[in-house]
Amino acid sequence: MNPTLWRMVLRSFFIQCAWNFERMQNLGFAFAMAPALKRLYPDKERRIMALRRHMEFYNSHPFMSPLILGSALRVEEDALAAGKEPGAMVSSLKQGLMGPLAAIGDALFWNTLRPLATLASAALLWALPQVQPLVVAGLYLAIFNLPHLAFRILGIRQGYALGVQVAGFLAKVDTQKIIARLRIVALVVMGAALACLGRLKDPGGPASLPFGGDLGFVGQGFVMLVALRLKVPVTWILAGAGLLAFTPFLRTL
Amino acid sequence: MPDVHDALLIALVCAVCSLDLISAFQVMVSRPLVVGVLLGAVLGDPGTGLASGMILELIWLQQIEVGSVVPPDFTLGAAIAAGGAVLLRRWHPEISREACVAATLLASVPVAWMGGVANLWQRRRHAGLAAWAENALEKKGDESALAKAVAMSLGLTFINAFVLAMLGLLLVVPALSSLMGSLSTAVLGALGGLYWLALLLGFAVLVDHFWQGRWFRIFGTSFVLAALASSYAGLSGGALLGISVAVGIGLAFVGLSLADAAQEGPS
Repeated sequence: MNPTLWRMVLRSFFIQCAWNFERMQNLGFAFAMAPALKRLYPDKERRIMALRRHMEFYNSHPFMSPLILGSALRVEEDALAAGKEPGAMVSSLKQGLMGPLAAIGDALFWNTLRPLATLASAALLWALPQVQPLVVAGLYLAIFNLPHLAFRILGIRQGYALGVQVAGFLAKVDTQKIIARLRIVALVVMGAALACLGRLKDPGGPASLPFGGDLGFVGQGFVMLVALRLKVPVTWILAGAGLLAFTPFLRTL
Repeated sequence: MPDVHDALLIALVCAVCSLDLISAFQVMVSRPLVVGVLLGAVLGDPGTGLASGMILELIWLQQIEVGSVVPPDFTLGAAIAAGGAVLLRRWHPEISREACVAATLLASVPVAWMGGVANLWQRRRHAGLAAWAENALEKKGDESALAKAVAMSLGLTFINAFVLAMLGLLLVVPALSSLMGSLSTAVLGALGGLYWLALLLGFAVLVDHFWQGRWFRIFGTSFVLAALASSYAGLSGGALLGISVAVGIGLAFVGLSLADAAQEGPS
């Protein structure tokens, strides 16, 4: 991968900087494009025009942005080589890609991989309570960041290689299937994790809860789950759990 | 009152991790689990940091920054909860870890909400920063304006988080400490019970997140089999976890592919 693409990947880590309600990640995108524009436009005036062009509205998933950066650079290069003005082409490419890629990134990273990393860490802690805390945090970071970093690096490479064809490539990637598979792994591990959590019967543990015992423990969890499914805010349920925890104390008053 | 050295350390860790939440990287060092473990490690009690971070991580699992949504500042909340729990444990060794974690967990919720309001304010300031950079680019031809705006955004995030963490620590933790010192054993026991209920609530949030219609029977079957294997076959937690990961991967990749092939039928 050429040094300009590496510089763009590194700068893509700052794409959320100066996120604002008017034009969202516009400044971050222009900042990430700057090394490429410096190479493409030796003339300062044209370079500044190009930078200002990239200050238009932009918002997508931060991990998917390198893919858009790479393909925007390729389109910009191809247009210049053909003697055309790249502004409109690059802009429509960005507008066309940012929405669908944001949806894929949100579903894959925020809704699947991050909760999966949390689940794996929790399951490890409950299965092996003596595990080193740094190992638990390390597992969490590894599960999340290995795919994250791969997406950033491979994304810019793929985007640059495909240019405007990137949309066709995305149509072939079945992210729904990947997500479905990750969710099945999560469901199986979650069942084992619950069994491990129920085993933690140290003094003050689940067995000594109000309405305690194994069945009581599962029952209380089920009530909380029903409340969550009914869209009761988690802070309200926490407050309810507080009241439940204090029942033995309140009875003594 | 927290030792100045400890307070500075907690605020510094919180400010560095907040950069990950608001401005840069997004490598998840801003998540409560990581903040809790990091703070526990620097304060010398990683176990309490992990206990606190894990509960907050689970409870705030569905709070994410997507588009224009600004959730509570769970990094700040985790810093107050985990840092506070470690300090409370140090000042009151007679009180259980669970009670300290539960007390700071409750105190961290309003702090996290206030942090969310501060983040909203900061994002509104960012519009001015972006406009300033564009203006400098257009009128003065200053190409470094973008880098300067990025640096200013990072600085603003750092200062914002540092000041809020210091305020939270100095206002909340000493008040909590004097309160904890005056509580009866029954109330402390109730706080210990709340720790387990909060952990259970966190697990319920996890289940709610992965809830997916008919596939949910997979979770139920896995739980029943794991509970039976644990009770009757005496399988250790590590063995249960290893088997579940292997079965999960097998089911997801082999089982789903076979199901797909069966659905497509013979070609």
